[in-house]
This record gives sequence, C-alpha cells and structure tokens, in this order.
Amino acid sequence: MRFYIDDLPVIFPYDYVYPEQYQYMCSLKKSLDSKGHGMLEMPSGTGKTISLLSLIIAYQQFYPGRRKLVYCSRTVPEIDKALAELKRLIEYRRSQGCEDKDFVGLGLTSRKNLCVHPTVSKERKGAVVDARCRQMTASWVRDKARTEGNIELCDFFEKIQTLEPSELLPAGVYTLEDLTDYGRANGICPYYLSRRVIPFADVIIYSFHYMLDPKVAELVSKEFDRDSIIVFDEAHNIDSICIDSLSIDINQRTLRASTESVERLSERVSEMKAQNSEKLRTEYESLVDGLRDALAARDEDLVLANPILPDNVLREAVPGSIRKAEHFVRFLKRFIEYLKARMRVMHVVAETTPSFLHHIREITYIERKPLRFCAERLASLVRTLEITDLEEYGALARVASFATLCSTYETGFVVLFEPHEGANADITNPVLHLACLDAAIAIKPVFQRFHSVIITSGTLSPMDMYPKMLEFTPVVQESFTMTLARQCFAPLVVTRGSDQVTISSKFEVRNDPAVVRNYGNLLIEVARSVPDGIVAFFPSYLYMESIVAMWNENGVLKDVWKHKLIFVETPDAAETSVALQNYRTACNNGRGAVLLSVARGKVSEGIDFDHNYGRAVIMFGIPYQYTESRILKARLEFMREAHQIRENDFLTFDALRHASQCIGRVLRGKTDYGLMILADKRYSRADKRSKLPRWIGTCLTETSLNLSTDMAISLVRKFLKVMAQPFDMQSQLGVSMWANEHIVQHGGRGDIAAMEVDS
Amino acid sequence: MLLIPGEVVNHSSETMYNHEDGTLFITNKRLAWCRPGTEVPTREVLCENFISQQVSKADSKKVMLRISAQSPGSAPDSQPITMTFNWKDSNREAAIADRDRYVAILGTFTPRRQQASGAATSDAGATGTGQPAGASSANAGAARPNAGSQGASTGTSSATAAGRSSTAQENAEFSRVKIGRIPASAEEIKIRQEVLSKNEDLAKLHKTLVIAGLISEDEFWSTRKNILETQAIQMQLRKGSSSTWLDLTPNTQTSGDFRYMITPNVARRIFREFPQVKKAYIANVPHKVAEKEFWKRFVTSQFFNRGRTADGSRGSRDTIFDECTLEEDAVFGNTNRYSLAYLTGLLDLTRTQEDSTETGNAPDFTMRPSSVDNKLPLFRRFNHHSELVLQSVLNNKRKNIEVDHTAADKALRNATVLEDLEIPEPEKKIKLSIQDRSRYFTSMSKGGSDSQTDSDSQNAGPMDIDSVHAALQVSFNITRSIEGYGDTQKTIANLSRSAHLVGLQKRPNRIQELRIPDELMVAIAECHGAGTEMLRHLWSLMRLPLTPERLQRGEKIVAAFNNVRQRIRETIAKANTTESENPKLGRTVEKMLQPITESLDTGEKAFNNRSQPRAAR
Repeated sequence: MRFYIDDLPVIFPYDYVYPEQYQYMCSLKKSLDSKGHGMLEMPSGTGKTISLLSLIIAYQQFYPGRRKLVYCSRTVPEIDKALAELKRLIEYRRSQGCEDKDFVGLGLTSRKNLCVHPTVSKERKGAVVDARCRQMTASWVRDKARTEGNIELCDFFEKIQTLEPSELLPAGVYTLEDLTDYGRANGICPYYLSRRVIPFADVIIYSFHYMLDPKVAELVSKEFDRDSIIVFDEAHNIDSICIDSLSIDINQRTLRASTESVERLSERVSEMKAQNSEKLRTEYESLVDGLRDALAARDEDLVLANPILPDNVLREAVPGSIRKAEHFVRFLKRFIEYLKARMRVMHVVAETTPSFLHHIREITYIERKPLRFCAERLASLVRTLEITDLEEYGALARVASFATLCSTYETGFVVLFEPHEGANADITNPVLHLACLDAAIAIKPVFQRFHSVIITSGTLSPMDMYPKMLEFTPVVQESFTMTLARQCFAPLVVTRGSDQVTISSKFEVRNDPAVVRNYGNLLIEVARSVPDGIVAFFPSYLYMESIVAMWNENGVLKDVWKHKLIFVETPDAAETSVALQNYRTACNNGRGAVLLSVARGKVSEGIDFDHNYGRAVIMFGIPYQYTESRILKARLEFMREAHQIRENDFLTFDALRHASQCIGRVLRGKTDYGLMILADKRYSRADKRSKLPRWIGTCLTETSLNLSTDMAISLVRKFLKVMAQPFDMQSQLGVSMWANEHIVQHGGRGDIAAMEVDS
Repeated sequence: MLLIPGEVVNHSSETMYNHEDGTLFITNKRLAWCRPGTEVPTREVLCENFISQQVSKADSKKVMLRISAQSPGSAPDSQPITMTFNWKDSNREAAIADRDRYVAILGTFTPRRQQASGAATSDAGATGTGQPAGASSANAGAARPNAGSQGASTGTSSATAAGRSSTAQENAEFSRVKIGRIPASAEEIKIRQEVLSKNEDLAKLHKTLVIAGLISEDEFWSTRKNILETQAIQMQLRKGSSSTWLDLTPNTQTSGDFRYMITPNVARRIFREFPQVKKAYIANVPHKVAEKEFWKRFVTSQFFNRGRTADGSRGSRDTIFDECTLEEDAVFGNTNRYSLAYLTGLLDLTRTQEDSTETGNAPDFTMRPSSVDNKLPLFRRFNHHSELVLQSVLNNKRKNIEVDHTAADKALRNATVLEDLEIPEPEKKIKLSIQDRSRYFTSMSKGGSDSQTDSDSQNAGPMDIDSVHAALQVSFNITRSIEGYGDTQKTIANLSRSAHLVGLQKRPNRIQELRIPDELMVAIAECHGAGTEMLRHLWSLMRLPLTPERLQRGEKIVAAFNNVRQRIRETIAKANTTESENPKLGRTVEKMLQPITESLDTGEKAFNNRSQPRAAR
C-alpha cells in the first residue's frame, strides 16, 4: 500500500498497516525531520523493523541528500531478518514503480560467517578463521609471494584487488547468504567485498559492536556522513553493550601468555635488527611524526587496534621512551611484571584510574603518557614485525588496551582486583577488572557525530532511564501500545502455589523446599495444560542449576517428562543451538517440549518462540543481577552520583527489562498467541509493574495479579480455549488494522488514487 | 518339591490354581505349582519359556498372578499357554506383598520375547532373539544362585540392537496380513483376539453367537473386515521409545538397605542412555567382573549418582565408572560433535558469538556453570535423552532438513512476513470438467432451495403451529384459474418445509425425552444387536440352496431366537420394575423392542416355511 506522511509518500509492502505502525512511522519522521535523536518503544511482533525500513527508505529516496541508513541489531539472525525485510521492501517498491536507482543494501559480519575459502571456511573457531585469513591476505605476505612464490594466497581476496570499486557489486539488497553466494559465484571474497562496498551502500546492517566498540568502529564506521541515520534496534540493552566494549578483564593466564608474547616480540625485534634494520628505522621515523601515517595501511593489515581514540592522541607524536622497538618491549615487560605483582595480593582492592596510575608511577616509574600510547604502539610494532598470527598476541593486546584505557579516562572507570571467585573464598582465581561504569563514554561519539540516532525496542520502559544513562536528549520519545483484535497474550502473575505458600526467587527463600516444590508444580501443571512449546526462564544460571537438580531429585521432572521433552540451555553456543533445533522439532511433532533457559542468556536475546514454538513462557522469579557483584556496586554508585539514579530503581529497571524481554519472546505478531506467566510474589507490587512495558502492563488486570497455581491454570485453560477458536483478522479492518481509508479517517493522508480504484 | 540339580527355591507360598489348593514355588530356574502332598509339579514354567506376567488390579478383590509362557517343546510362534494363580490369604495386604515377591523375581527372568512394540501379543519376530537370550540367562542363573539383579544377562546387550529390528520385523508381518482369508491366518487370529479384548460389546456378541456355536468364527468376522483392517494397521504402527526419563528408584528393604532392580528392560535403557556403560559392560562382563557386581558398582558409582542428587559428590569412586564419567564428559564436552550444517541459520547462536570479538568483563559467577558442583552433565543428559527420543521417532525425517539457500530464504520469510496484513489470496478452486451442464445446473438449483429450507427451518424457532399446518392443507380448487400459480418449485419447497417443521414439532429429540436409564439402553442395544446379527445370518442362509448342513445351522439359529426373546422379555420386565421419571418406561421399551421381536417372528416363520416342506417330503 501507499500512503503519505506529511508530503512523504511511504510505500509499505503490505495491503494493510497496523495503526501503531503508522503512528510509529509518523514519530520516526518527526525525529528525522528535526535531525534529532529519537527513542521509540513498540511491542514485539508488531512489525517494527518493516515500519522503520519503509519509512527510512522512503525518506532517503524522496528527499535530497540520500541519507545513508546504518541499522544496528543485536544478533546475526536479526541482521539476516532485517536484510530479508529490506530485500522484500525494495522488491515491492520496484513493483510499485519506484526506481531506487543503484540501491545497495547489505550486512556486515565476521569472516567466520562470510568466508568462502574452501579450507578456511571449514574452521569452527572465528579466531582461527581470522588468523588463517590474515596469513594469506596481509600486505607483506602478498609482497613476499610476488617475489618468492610458493606462498599460499587467497584467490578470492586477490580477485577483489583487481576490481574497481564501482564494479564490485551490482545494485541490490544482499542477505548474508546472498553475499556468500555472490562471492562464491564470482570468486570474490564476500568479507572484504562487504567492507569495500560500505561507502557506496545506502543501507548497512550490522551488529552493535561495529558502531559502539571503538576497535571495530574505527575500521568500519568512521567514514559515515554526519547526515547518516543511525538506528539501534532491540536497543534495550544498549548501555550494557557500551560498557562491555570498554571493559577488560585480566587474569593470570592472560599475564602468562603476555609474558610469552613479549619474549617472542623481543626475539623478533633482535632478529629483524640483525637482518634489516631499515624497517624499524622507518617505523621510528613515522612514530616521530605521529600515528596518523601509520594508520594508512590499516584496512587489511589489521590489527591490534587501540580501544579509544581521543583525537589528540593521534595527532601527538609517540613519546620518545617507547619509540624504539626494544625500548617498548622492555617497557611492556615492566608493566606486565607490575601487574603480576598486584595479582599476588590476597584481598580485594578497588581504586580509581588516577590512583592506579599513581601507584604505577611510584613503583615502576612508568608515566601516564607512554601508557596511553601503549595499544597503538603495539599495533604499529606488530605491523612492522610483519606478524600475521595475531591470535598469539591477543593476551598482550589486551594488556596494552588495559593500559591505554586506564591512562586515558579519569572518571567513569574503576580498577578492581578480586583474588577470589564469587562469594567463595576457597577458590583462588585472581582477576584484575577494568570496569567501565559510564555507558555514555562509548556511545558519546555516536551521538555527537550523527544527527539522527534512533533507539528502538519492544521494551524500553521506563523510558526516562536511557537518556539519563546515555547522556543524550531525544527530540521524540514515544511508547506505543498494541491495538489488539483479540487479547492474544495473557500476562499472569502467580504469587503463590496451590498450597498458598508465597513463591519468590528472593535470595532468602529461593532454595526453600516449599518454594522449589511450588515452582516445580507450576511447571508440571503448565506442561500438562499447554500444548506444544513452553519456555521457562530462570534468573541466573546458578539458580537454574540448583533448582533443576532439586527437581530431578524430588521427582518433579519425572512428571514433566510425561508430558513434554526437556531441553536445557548450556553455556556453549553450539550445544544450545542444537538443543534449540531439537526443541523446535519436538514442538512440530508430538506433545511438544519444555526449554529451560536463563534470562540474560543467549536464548533470551534473539531467539523467537513464535506460534507453536512457544505457547507459554514462565519467568521463575525476577532476574535481578547478582547484587553482591563489586562491579555492579561500583556502577550503581557511579550512577547515583553522576546521573542521580537510585540503586534500587536501576536494579529493578534492569531486572524487569530482562523479564519483559523473556516474556515478549512468545509473541511474534497479532495472529500469534501466548501466555506470559510471571512467577514471583514481587511482580504484583506496583513498583515492579510500573516498570514493565506499557503494552504488557495495561493487560495486567486485578484478576491476573495475585494468582495461586491452580487459579492460574484455570485461567490458562480458559485462555487457550478461547484462542483456539478460528479467528478472522479481516473483521478487524479499521480496528487493529488500517487500510488507506482508515488512515484518512484518522486524519492522515492516504493514497487517493488507490482509494478511488478500491471503491 | 523335587529340585533339578543346581536349583534353589527362592520363595514358595500357598496358592490356588484352577480352584485347587496347592503350593507355588519359584526357583532360580522355574516357576512350579504342586498339588498338596505331591512332589512333582503339576504345572511348571521354565524360566526360558517365560513370556510375561500380569497382576490383578490393585483395587480388585482377588489377588492374582497370570503367567503366560511358551509350552515346552513347542514351535516358537505357537500360542502361549497362560495360567492364573490365586492367593487365598484372607489378609489382602499380605497376599499382595507375597505376590509381589514373585513379580519381582519373575521380572529378572529374561522374557522370552522382547515386547518392544508394546503390543500385548507379540508372538512373531522373537525367533531370532528370544531363544539365545533366555538360554544364557538360565546359565547365568545357575552360576549365581542368589539372584538379586542378575536378570540382565549377557544376552541382553546383544538384544539391545536386535530388539528394535525384531519390532520392525513383527510389524512388517502385520502389514502382510490378508484379512478375510479362509482359513484365517495366524496373524488374523491374533488381530481378532486383540479386537475382542478391546471391544467389550463385540466380545459379548461373539460369545452369544460364535462360542454358542450358532455361526462360525469366519462368518462372524466376514462382516467385520473393516474392524480387523483397522486393527491390523494399528498393530503395524511402530511406537517410539518411551519419552519418560529413566528413573532408577531403589526399593527400600525392611532392613533399611536400598535395592535396585535391574531388569533386562532397564539394562537396555541404561545402555541406550549411556553408551559408555554399554562399552564398559561389554569390556568387563563377565570375564573381569561378574554381572551382579557390575551393576552393584554401577549404582554406587559417582557416575550414576552425580546427576541424581542435588549433592553431586555422592557415590564412591570406581575405576570402571570413573572412566565412563571421563568419557561422557569428553563426548558431551566436545561441542565439535555437533554438525552445525544442519542448523537453521536463525537458530545458530554461534554466528552471533563469532560476529564480534569478546569484550567486557566476564559474567559474574551466578551466570556461569558452577565450578564446584557441576550440573552440566545432567543438563547434557537431558538434552541427549530428548534427542534420543526424537530420533527414535524421526530418524528418517531428520535427514531431510534442508539447509540450502532456498530453505534459508523460506525460513527468513516465515520469520518476518506478517501474514495478517496481506489480503488473503482467494482459495484455489479446481475446475470441474462437466460435460452435460444443463443437468448439473438443475441439480444445483434443487440443492440451493434445499439448503434454503434448511436454514429457514433452523432460524424459524418458535413458530405458529397452525400456520405451518395450514400450508399443508391443500385444497384443490379446480375452478380457479391457474394463472400465477406456476411456481411449482416454490410450492413444493413450501410444502416440504412445512412437513419438516411439523415433523420436528411432533418428534423432538426423542431419545432424551424418553429418559431411559443407561443400563436399559445398553440392554436394548444388545437385544437389537444380537437379534439383527442372527437374522442376518439366517436370511443369508435361506437365500442359498438348502443343504442338510445349512438346515442344521438354520435350526440352531432359530433355536437361539428364544434366547434373544428371553432377553427381550427380561429387559421389558426390568423396565417395568425400574423407577424412572418416565412413567411409561415399560411400554416405551416394549415399543422399542417391538420391531426386533416382529422381525424375529417373521424370520422364524419364513425359515419354517422353507424348511418344513423339505422335512415333510
């Protein structure tokens, strides 16, 4: 269909539009027009992505400037899906007479996911693929091959070098699969192809890290125009990603490996000095001039990049003390020895970065300035020494990044040394954390550089939290609810078992046999009355382990086995993927299955349990973070001081955004239906409920707020009975679904021509 | 009782067999029943002949044990013999406890047939596996007299693999059955028995007709081929393995000890769930450790106990099973064993994991598997078990998961498209190639008006009865001109509609109105059933030329009419005495049974007419 928002003709690749989609597009347009940032919350399963793409593509093609769209998503499957929607949209636009000349849309991902080299692509580990790829594509390797021969190069990469940028990729939208197919068919490396095409692409879809992680962003995102439209989809977790990209852990293994690497480096340096000191001298000279030039060849030869790039660092010359290779190596050795010494302390130490630096200077006489250049200097040295196997230097690079980060920021970080693991003092596993506390640091450049940054997700409530944490001011901030033809999801708060014992995952009671039993009974009853798939989420992995073991022991699971097969999420991604696949097979055949998984885990983020793959989701307890964690405590303190966010507010906010992500997994559209069971006493309290997304919160009524297991089950039965009735969406035209005339009725501008044809 | 050399009596108690008192012995080699005072068993079942056991329901009055076994020396596929023992102990609890001791010991006998399909009668297909398994079990029993858990004999491990193939073989046999052959094949007889055991009404009818000798077995079934065919198909269905979790719960003995029963079935499942144990079993039993010892060590090992209790460190270390633990961890821990090529892209979590370099602080310890007391093997076992169950059902289908480009596109499309926003495509219609359209359309118009009246009468609701009747009062006035009265179709439609309504008014939902008690309904149905069946056979007899043999049978059937009449009278009498909301219950029932009585009379008369002249001649 085609309609107008203000003067912008929007082509939407469906025959109808949901009212909330239309409103979403209106808000989005407002935000783009004003060249400001936006925050939009829209329920999961209401076609957020397609609304977003439809409007932005229309905007891009209609107005002059052709603003590039950079769409960031959370997981690779989501990237895939977004690309597929884009592809469909463009096809539809073509069928509607839009030319969209030279339109290019594509996704970026790692070598592991794109490699087409016959042997390299068979490797299972991404790091290995990277290493082997570099061994064949590094510039010095290729130089050497030209003179010596007998060195294996990658034909796919060589082919790309011979092509002009304009003839790399014909216009069109390429899903990741399309891209590898194209690469295979034409003998071109899809990985490098996608990176070369970035400047010409109209739409680029990749994961958050490519924008937020400074190491990666430097490579792929720095060339974008100020006018580009940046979208973070599924962005409810964006603060954690920001923080993660600037945090580093160092443990004893890292230090051991770094020592080895330093040894190897010094050997290489002396070797090279003996053979050919030309290269080292050139490097020295370029370091005197500053690092800019050294960055020139970074595209392929990359690279142990620096984690942060305050502009002044790049313009300054590298301090004299570490300009010479052998000096730098010695410098590194000293720094590592210092860290090792710190690791021997057997009590917890938390300090700010300035005090940490102060201590270093007192002990080792290492100044702040050379530390700041540490990462960049290491990268430069690695390049000079022509090292391809960067994996071996991973630990060292980590230490160097640690040094650089510590010495660059004075606030927003904490250096934390923990000699023991968890609360258990028996297990010695010393770790030195550098924890970023301020989510705004990583995302600041993005907000500064680009006019329009859109943050959107199914669960952003409460919405005032994000602007505070990320330090930005949105011009548009909206939350949309779901117009429902029928009540296709039922949130139920179960507060007690059938025996009236209060259930809760509160730390004091979570292992109480009565609570465990009642949680077990809830699972049994739900397994008995719900068809097909059921997903159960636990607040933490540890709790899942203990409660499942107890259930196994006291026979709860035996009853569950009678009704469903059981699958469990494990920490390993491949194993869990196979379990998921089997879970789906089980849902398609026979009585269905139960999937036990963890909130905040891999499954809760990004796997959909639509239709028969998830008829009910049970959230056992509230997924609070481990509040004794020292990093979390430091962060809470920082937020209280810097952003005036109260500890409890943040903790509850964080727990509930994860809970709502989990329960939102079952609903993927208005034809879908599912139960959302929140099994904890505390969900019935107003402070918790108010933090649930509006579209879920409004459906929580008095009757479903304080249920015992048996009451809940009778509601479940009733709900399933109603939902199983045939339902005609067409009767909802005008209510939860609009055609052109309804847009006009609601004060919009429909496509008059189309309406006349219709009537 | 006289014992065979090497035999040890495990248990004995007083039981009744065929209403006779006696003593039931169970030894390590056989089950035997002796009359009082005799030393030689009247009935005995060697353990290699033992097939299955059944016990009376927990709430039934009598305490019984039914054994089915191969009669000694008979062909492997012949019908098994069954014998039922009754406990006469007045104390029911004690009797049950006593019986259960037999049940327990019998459980250790290797069943002669692996009833893997779950079908009650699985005579076929056991030829290959049953014999050797049973025999070896007997040998094992001789070597280790005090059978605690020796049931899992060496034979079972080989039977693990064979068990499934025998099921398939057996199923295949049923698929070849030709229903309705005379004489009936063995398989068909089995199917018949199965049908009768499931269908109570049919069994009753079968009893009155066939067992009383009125009609032959084949005749009885000749009209019920469809039932047999359905049953044959059902018996062919291959059932997957049970999805229940293998749960070994020990019995607590009076002494407070635990006792695990490892029957061949359990052993087979253990082997399936833990291939490592199977490997260890093959490697160690019987030359390194005795079988009993093996299982004993198994249940006490850490390997066995680590997933079972919340406290994972229970159980003792054991060289054999520590190795199993290591091996299991190695297998499960090696995530490379998964072929990710079969994963749908949308579910492949590794792609996301590999998309970015690892950054950030490690998750705190609550989000990682515990390092102290590791539950991971248990979770992996869950996944493994579920996968096994799925595979046992879908092993062929699974390979068909497509992972090529089009399949990926389709998966993406399914995951993204909002179908409800699209105008549904009109359903595809098949063009009918009708030659003579004129006739097709006449019938169409008729059908149309029919459906119209139907819907009308349904919507009519309460309606003036007189107006309906009025429509039926047709007074032909020939003096009137016929102009304007041409719409015959409409008139007929009106008429039939009125007739339909009148019918509805007169006869509402009768059966409910009559309020006949359920048991009477059943009795009535039975009378009808038996009568109709007999009449059918009688009439079909009469249509054929009469032979003395047929005549004889006819006479038999006619004689049996009296039984039916008797039943009818009884039913009516019962109806008269039964209290009911329907005051005229007796009369109603009588009326309901009237037709069958009449038919019986007619049938008898007709038969007499036909046979009498012959007899007179």
